[in-house]
Amino acid sequence: MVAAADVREGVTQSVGAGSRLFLLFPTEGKRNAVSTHHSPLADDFHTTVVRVLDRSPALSPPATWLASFEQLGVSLGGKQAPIQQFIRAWTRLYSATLLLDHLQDRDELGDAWLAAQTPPLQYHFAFSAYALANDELAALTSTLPPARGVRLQRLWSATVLQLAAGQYRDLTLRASSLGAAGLEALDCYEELAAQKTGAAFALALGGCAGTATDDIALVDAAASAGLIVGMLLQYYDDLLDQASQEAQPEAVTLARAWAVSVGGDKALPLKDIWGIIYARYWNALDAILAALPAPAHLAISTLVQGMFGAPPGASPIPITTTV
Amino acid sequence: MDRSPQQDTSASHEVVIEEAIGAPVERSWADVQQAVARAVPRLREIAMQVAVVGVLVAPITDSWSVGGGRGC
Repeated sequence: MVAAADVREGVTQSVGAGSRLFLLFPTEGKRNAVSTHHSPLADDFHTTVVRVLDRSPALSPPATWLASFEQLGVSLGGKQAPIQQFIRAWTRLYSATLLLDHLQDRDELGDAWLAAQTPPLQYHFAFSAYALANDELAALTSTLPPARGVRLQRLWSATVLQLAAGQYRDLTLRASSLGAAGLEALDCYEELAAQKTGAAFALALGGCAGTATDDIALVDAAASAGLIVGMLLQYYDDLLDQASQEAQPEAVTLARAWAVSVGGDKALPLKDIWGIIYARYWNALDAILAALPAPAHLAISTLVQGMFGAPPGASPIPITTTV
Repeated sequence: MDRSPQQDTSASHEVVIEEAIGAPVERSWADVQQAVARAVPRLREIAMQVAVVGVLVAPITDSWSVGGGRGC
């Protein structure tokens, strides 16, 4: 489980009258020990945040995704423990961004206790989930070979920045502005999807690969596959959520962008739009996966088919969850 | 300047870090984006092809269930 349960060594230092500052210096010989023994208040914080996240299935990624991530990392030569640690970090990040998105969109939170909290505290749980994610990543990278750890940290930073930019775009772009001068509707939407969700899955797959290996070509191939998977997930969710989006007329959606680009009179049923895009993206994904060894290829194919079913016109591959 | 073994170890570690932070790392994420941009057709192109040519193959999938998204 999360590092919150860990008791970590460190140093505390008195600062001024009655206040204490927790310093996050790793102790000599224990570079993996990032933060320190917790005061009762700190324990309460960690326990509460972890409980909030773990008791809210709607904020957690499906276990089948995580199994495929692990299978990918192990298939590229990674040891199970660091791969799982990366997946824990990514899971916290996923929860943080999903909670933030739900709060900003005023969506159902899927948990009665969380929904009953004040908005400031709800937003603080999103920030806290990210803090836990970052702490888990720091603990992991300190145990990896230095160059690999730095590469992983930089991939994390680059993709999280993309996530932030994508969410900004989602909050500021208006459906009524699609098609305006200089804004091609589907181009805008596609970039939004790549940043908002594509980057998260580029990090998931690229991070598992980057934890496992120093081979940059393999890491790039895994991250590229993740970017495509995330874009597909954004499209798929968007089309499935069309009914609830009717109450948000200014939300930029795939169906609205498609209609603006081709003309409303040529709009297709949503299922047909999805099937056409999925078929084209599947072909691109298959070409990118060719750079990976067969077990890694299988892990990602299994993930994609688990998320979206077999691609149109293709025979389902055997699904396996064993490593 | 005192070059103790401890300082030498730190210095070599910094070199490794600097090498890792350099161009290959920065290039990697840009490469990912470019590789995907090359591999995946633009949505705009897909939509225009469909608008002009029509749906050639019935794109039936076995996973379609309206109302099941994550709400993002």
